[in-house]
Amino acid sequence: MENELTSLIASDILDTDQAITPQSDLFAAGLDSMGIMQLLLLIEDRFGVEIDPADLSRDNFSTAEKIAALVAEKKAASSR
Amino acid sequence: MPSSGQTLPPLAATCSDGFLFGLESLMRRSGQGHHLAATVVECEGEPDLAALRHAADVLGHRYPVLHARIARGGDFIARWRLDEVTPAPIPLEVHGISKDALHPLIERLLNAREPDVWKAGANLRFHVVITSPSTWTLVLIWSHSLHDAVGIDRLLLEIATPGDDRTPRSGGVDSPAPAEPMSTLYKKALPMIEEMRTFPAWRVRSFHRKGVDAGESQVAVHAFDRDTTTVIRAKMAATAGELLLLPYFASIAARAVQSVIAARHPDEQVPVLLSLPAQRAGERPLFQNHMGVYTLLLTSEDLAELKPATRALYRKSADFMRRKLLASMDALMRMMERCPSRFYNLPAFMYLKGEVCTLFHSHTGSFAPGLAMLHGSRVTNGYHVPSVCSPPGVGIFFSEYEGQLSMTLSWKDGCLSPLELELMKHKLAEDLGVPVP
Repeated sequence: MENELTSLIASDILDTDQAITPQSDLFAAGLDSMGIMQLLLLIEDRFGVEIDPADLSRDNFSTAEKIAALVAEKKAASSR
Repeated sequence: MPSSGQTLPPLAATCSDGFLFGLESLMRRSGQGHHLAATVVECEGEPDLAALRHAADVLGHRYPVLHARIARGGDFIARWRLDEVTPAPIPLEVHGISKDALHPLIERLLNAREPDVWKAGANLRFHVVITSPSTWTLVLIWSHSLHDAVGIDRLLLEIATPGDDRTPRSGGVDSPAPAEPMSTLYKKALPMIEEMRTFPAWRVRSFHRKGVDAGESQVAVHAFDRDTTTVIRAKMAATAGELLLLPYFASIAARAVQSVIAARHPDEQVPVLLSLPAQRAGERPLFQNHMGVYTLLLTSEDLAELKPATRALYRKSADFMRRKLLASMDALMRMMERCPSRFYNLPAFMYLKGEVCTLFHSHTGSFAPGLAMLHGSRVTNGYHVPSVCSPPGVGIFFSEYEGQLSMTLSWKDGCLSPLELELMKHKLAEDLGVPVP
């Protein structure tokens, strides 16, 4: 999931020439408020989970790896 | 004609540029001036005027579009006429005034009707404002028909490190996708056309007063200090989460504007039609606007409380994205690209009974990320000051530089009384959780 997320963020959200890895700092790479909104929509559509506003922290969204972990946690919680 | 060297082909204006060209036309026909904006970069130290003049010279030659007029060709498509440009430095003017006089100066510059993108000549102007022996401010005056805040942020980085490369380039999308057949475009545009057909039922109002000519641009800029910004951000985190800046600040702006319109029309349930920027993915050139526009309807119930208003705004913008209305709007703009500028406003006037929207809003996020120094001076703050047209007659804009939030209120004379301005500021202060002078 983290590789798919990384690739989607690099192609559809960010405007950067630098290579994005699952560990890249997305805010340093230019992830902004509008990008976050597009990213939330992308997560809902692609992975079928809704992110609660309480989970919208800089820490949870700082890397694709952390976003993937949050999405996996939400998916697991919804399937319980 | 170009004096020497490379001649570039005309640069086509596409998508939202066409709509902005239409707004420019509306402003000129109704005597509202030109669609100009200012970008303000406050610095510590003394300006290096030689370095700034060098940057103005290099960038003026590197980007001939900074001197080009926009005009419709034989096929009626609007293009920047790079083929008839004589490269020249960007004009630079030096002012010595107190810091208190900075915003009145910006107001004068926004109302001066220069630059004029309909004529050949500079489309960007540098104003170096020396506010004290140890502080100065760079003010860029630009036309919204050529730039937007994303492009200006990138151009600022080039102003800070211009190099010596004067090779001309367009700085735009040189090879726009070929036009599709009208039948294909219509299929793509249909969802947005159908959305527009729902507009009349919304009974939208703006600050525009029928029968009152909108006059000069007025602006009020408030730069919150870092401590106050921290208080605002803490309230935001507790209300909407740490990251949903755009819907949070847009909700605050919408509630402030609604409070004024509701006071004017106490017997109505006043909805707000919000014009929000939507950033396109992919290549983001310096020139050509990056923003499409969401038209989101917020009912009086949506706006009753701040927290649910933020959530409602997010859900509605997500719905707009999910229905791919931005791509649909782009197709509609392509269908209209050969139409005279005034035709761009006709759908809004037909479906919205004379209103374009209720307010313009944007949160541009971080101001010029990466801009820490400007030719030896430390940058202490930065923000954009756009002017607006009437309708809607008002714009509320937020941006943040290094933990310092700035808020710009922009309106047209005749659209907002002093008492209404106070009411709007009172509502903004209530929602932001800090005083607004």
